[in-house]
Amino acid sequence: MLAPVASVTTSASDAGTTETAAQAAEVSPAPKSQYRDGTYSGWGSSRHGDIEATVVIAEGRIASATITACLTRYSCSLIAHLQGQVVTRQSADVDYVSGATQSTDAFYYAVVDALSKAKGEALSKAKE
Amino acid sequence: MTLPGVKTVPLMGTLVTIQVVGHDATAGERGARDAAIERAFDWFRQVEACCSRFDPSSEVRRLSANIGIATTVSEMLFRAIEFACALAAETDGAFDPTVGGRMAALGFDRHYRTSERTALAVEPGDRVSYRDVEVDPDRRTITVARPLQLDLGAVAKGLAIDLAARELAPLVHYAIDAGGDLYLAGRNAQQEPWTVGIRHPREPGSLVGTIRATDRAVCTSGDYERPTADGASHHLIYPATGSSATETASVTVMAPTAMVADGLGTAAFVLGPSPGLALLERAGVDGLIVSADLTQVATAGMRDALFSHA
Repeated sequence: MLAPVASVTTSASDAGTTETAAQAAEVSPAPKSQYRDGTYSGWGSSRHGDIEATVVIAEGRIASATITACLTRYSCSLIAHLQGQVVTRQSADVDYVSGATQSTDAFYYAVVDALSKAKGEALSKAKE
Repeated sequence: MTLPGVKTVPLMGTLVTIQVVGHDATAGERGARDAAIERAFDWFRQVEACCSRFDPSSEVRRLSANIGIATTVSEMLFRAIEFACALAAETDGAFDPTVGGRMAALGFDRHYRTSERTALAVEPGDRVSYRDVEVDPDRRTITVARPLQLDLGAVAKGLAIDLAARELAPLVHYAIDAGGDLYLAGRNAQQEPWTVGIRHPREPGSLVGTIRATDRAVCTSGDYERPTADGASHHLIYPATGSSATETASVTVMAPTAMVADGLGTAAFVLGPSPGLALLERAGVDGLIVSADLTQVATAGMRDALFSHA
């Protein structure tokens, strides 16, 4: 399921997100990598519906986080801005979030789900 | 592709995720682990069947219809009501489990799965309070003195988390996430204490801080949860007036059990930042309170546990 990074970063649905991702990648220091490069998808749910996020890891960093399926009762344009935030914050250095329950959190948990797979892949690789 | 040892199920009006670290070396270990996870989820189903005010056949709804009669109840329901009434007494009614009637008046009367409007079991009187609920620990009976509807929403989810945690205790390293109310046991997959982000009450997707937690519940009550249809008020109700508490944006409590963390967090939310913090300190738990103007106050222990989210 791993795809070459170069071929999928263009899947970011709007230009603004892609630009943010590129800027974040330049200015942030490279952390020790907890993620394995590749493309990972995850699902998040709320009472308002489900969201699929696809996260691209490049050189151990979150290169993009995009909404790839939106089965919510509200328009996903309402939370489009979150896509850039994930990249800027490199947010998955938390295991869980307290107080996250609703709407936009469906995207958050979709990203967390996807990143848990990126971590899982990295861990299983490390054991080999 | 699902990470082994992690499962998410919609329960109690939210998503419940249980993650167990380790116990994956052999098929036998994985089988025992997955069976324990299923038993843990069953506690959520049992608490929901017992404590839901939306389900006419739930034990608490049947109890609420039994006016003036000392009723023997299940240990689960007794524990939930006993704690809710003790917390009500401790907060002089700022927290009150008899708030159910007013919750319905504000529109929180739809079953979260079916969206069907639930009829009240009884017509609540005007001035009911927790003092109309008599708890007898010796005979394990509850007497509802006047028509009212018990709302155990602030304690039932915590109780379910605690029962699930007890079920998973032999597995040592695990996490339970019930819609942002958490119990973290042992260590995460990196053999470190679990890291917990505290959600920013005003900026979706942002955190106000991060804490490390081991063998602790971390629960957050926020005014961003479950807004009413008109967006005017939220589900944390000041019992004396029936209107939403407005001084507080969110309260995060870290405590040994989720029932205590969730209950104290709800009570502190209603009390407001300053008396709320005093309540948490009196109860000996750690907490962070974010005001409506986004100023933060925290117990000393929580200040030590927090590190900024750079």
